[in-house]
Amino acid sequence: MATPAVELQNVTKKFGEFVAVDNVNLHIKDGEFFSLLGPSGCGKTTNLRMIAGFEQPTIGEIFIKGQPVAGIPAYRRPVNTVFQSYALFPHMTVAQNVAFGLEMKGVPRPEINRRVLEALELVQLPHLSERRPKQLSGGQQQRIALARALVNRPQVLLLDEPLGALDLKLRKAMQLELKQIQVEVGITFIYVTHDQEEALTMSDRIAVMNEGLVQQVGEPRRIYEHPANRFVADFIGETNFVSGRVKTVAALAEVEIPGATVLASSEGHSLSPGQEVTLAIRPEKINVYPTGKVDLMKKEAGIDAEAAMSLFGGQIPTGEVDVREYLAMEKNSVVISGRVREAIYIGTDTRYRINLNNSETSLVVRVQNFGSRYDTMFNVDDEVYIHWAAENAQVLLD
Amino acid sequence: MSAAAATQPQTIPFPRQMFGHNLRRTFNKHVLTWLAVGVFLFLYLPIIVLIIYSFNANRVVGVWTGFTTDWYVRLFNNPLLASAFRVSIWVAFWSTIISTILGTLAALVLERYRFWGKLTYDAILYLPVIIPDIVMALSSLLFFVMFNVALSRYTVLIIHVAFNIAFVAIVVRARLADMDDRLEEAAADLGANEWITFRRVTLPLLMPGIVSGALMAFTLSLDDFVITFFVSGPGSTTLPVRVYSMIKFGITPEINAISTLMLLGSTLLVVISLLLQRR
Repeated sequence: MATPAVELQNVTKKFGEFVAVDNVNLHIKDGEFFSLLGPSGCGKTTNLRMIAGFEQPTIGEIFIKGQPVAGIPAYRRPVNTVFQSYALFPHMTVAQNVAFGLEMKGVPRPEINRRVLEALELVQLPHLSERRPKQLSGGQQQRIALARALVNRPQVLLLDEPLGALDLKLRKAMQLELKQIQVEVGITFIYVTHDQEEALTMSDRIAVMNEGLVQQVGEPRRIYEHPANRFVADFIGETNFVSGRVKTVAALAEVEIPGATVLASSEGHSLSPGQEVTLAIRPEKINVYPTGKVDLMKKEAGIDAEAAMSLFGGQIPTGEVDVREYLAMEKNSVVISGRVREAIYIGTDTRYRINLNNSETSLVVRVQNFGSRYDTMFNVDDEVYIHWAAENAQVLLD
Repeated sequence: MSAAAATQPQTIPFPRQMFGHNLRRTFNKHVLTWLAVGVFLFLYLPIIVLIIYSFNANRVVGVWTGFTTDWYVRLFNNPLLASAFRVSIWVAFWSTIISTILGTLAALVLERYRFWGKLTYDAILYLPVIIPDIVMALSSLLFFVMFNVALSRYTVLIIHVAFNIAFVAIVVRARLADMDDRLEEAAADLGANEWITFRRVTLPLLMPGIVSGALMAFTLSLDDFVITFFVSGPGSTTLPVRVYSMIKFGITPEINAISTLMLLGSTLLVVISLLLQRR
C-alpha cells in the first residue's frame, strides 16, 4: 500500500478538561480530496490545526508522508493552509502575499516572479497582482489565499472552511472551481466544512465528526446511502427515523415497524432477532401511489410506463391493474398503505407527511414534480400506497 | 363612523403626542447646544486670550496697545530658555525611544503570552496613568534620595521612561488586540520562523500604533512639569520647569509667547498621533 499523505494515529487533543478530538484515526490517501465534516465544535478544525502544526496532540501521533511530525514547528511542515478569514497580509500587495512563502524558502527572484504569476493565473486573477487585499472582494481574496498556499507546491493543502464567508451563488461556483484546481494540481486537499452539500459535492472521501469522534469515513455516496449511525444519517441530508424490532437476520433483514413488517439493509451491522433498531429512510427514496386500480397504458398517477414495461417483460397488461399488486411484483420492494397528513408544494418537489397503516408513525416523502402534474398531487386525507426498494432503508443501531 | 366608536379612548390623542415629543426635542437641542458652547468657551477662552496677549506690545498683561512679535524674538535670544529647551528635547527624545521599545515589548507579552502573575503585572503597568502626578513625583524623589542618587537629567529621563511605558503599552496593545491572530499563523504556515514573522508581519502591522504611542510619549515628556520639578537637579531644568521659575518674577508676554509655542507643538504631535491610531 502506498504511504498515506497524512495519517492520524490515536490522536487526542484536550484543552484543559475539554476533549476537542477523541482518539481519532485517519488515513488520508495521496492526491485525495478529503473532507472533515461536522457541526461547529466537533473537532474538525482542531484536527486541521494539529496537522498544520498550530496545535500539538495531547496523545497520539501524526504522520505526513510517513514522517512523524511531532516537534516539527508549523514553519517547517510541508503543508500550507487556506484560512477561513483568508489571513492575507494587509500591508503587502497581492504579489507580495503570494511570493511570501517562496521568499522564505530562498527561491531565486526570477523564479519567484514566474511562479507567482503562474499561481495567479491558476486562480484567474493575474491582473490584480499590485492591489492590496483590502481592495479585493471576498471571492477574490479567497482565490488569492488559495494561490498563496498553492504556489509553495505543498505536499498537502489544508483548507479551513474557505468558502464560509462567500454568498451562496459564489460558493457553489467556487466549489466546482476548487475541485477542478485540485484535480489539475494533483495535491492532497484536506477540507474542513460544516456544509454537508459542499462536502458531498467536492470530496473523494469524507470523515463525519461529532463531539471529537469520527463517526464514519467513506465516499460521499456511501455516507449518504449507508450512514453508519443515527448522527450521520441525521446530519447529512434529511432522513426519516422509524423505530423497529428485528424479526429475521439476513443482508436484507426483516424489521417490524408500526403498521408493517419490512425488509431493510443491515449493511455494516450484525443483528440478532428481537433487537431494537432504528430504520432510516430518505424522503426522496419513497414513492407515493394512489390506491385502487389503474390502467398502466394511461400513465395515471405517474406510474412509469417504461418501468412497468421492464417489470412485465415487455408485456404491459391491458385494462385495470391493482396498484398494490403491481408494486409488489418488484423484487424486495416495500409497499405500505397510508394516509396523507400534510402536502406542501415546494417548487421542485412536493413534501408529504404520510401516516403508516393507520398508526401514529408518519414518514416524510419527497416527490419530484415532473412536468406540471398539479392535478395528480395528493391531498390531505387521501388514501395512498407508499413504496420503496428494501435496500434503501438502512438499519441503524442506537 | 358611529358616535360610540368616535368617543372611545383608543389611543393617546395624536396632537398631544406630537406636542410632547417636539417639546422634548426642542429642549434637548437648545440646552445641549448652549451647554456645549459654554464648555468650549470655558476650556479654550483662557488659551485664546493667552495667545492674543503673546502679540501684545504692552508689557502689562490685560492692556492691549498694539501688535508685535517682539516677545517671540526675545524668546529665541534668551540663553536660559534655549538651554532648557535643549534639555527638554534631550529628555523627550531618549525617553520616547526607550519607553517605546519597552512599552511595545510589554504590550506583546501581555497580549500574546500567559504567565504567572500576569494580572498583577497588567495592573501595575498602568499605575502611572491612574495615580496623581504628585504621588509619582514624591515617590520618585524619595526613591532617588533613599538610594543616594544625585538628581540630574538622567534621573529625569528614568522617571519619564517609567511613566511613558504605560502610555505606549496601552496604545500598542489596542492595535495588537485588533490584529487577526491568523496573520501570524499564516506567516508560520508559509515558512517564516518566529523572528521573521515578527519582523515582516507583526511589526509592520503594529507600526502605526507604535509611532502613535511614541508621539504620545514625546508629548507627555515635553509637557510634564510636576514630576520633572521634583526629580530634576542642577543643569537639568526642562522648559516647563524654567517657565515656572520665570513666573515667579512676574508674568510677562514672553511667558505667553513660549506657552503658545508649546501649545502648538503639543497639539501638532497629538493630532498626528490620533490620525495614526485611526489608520
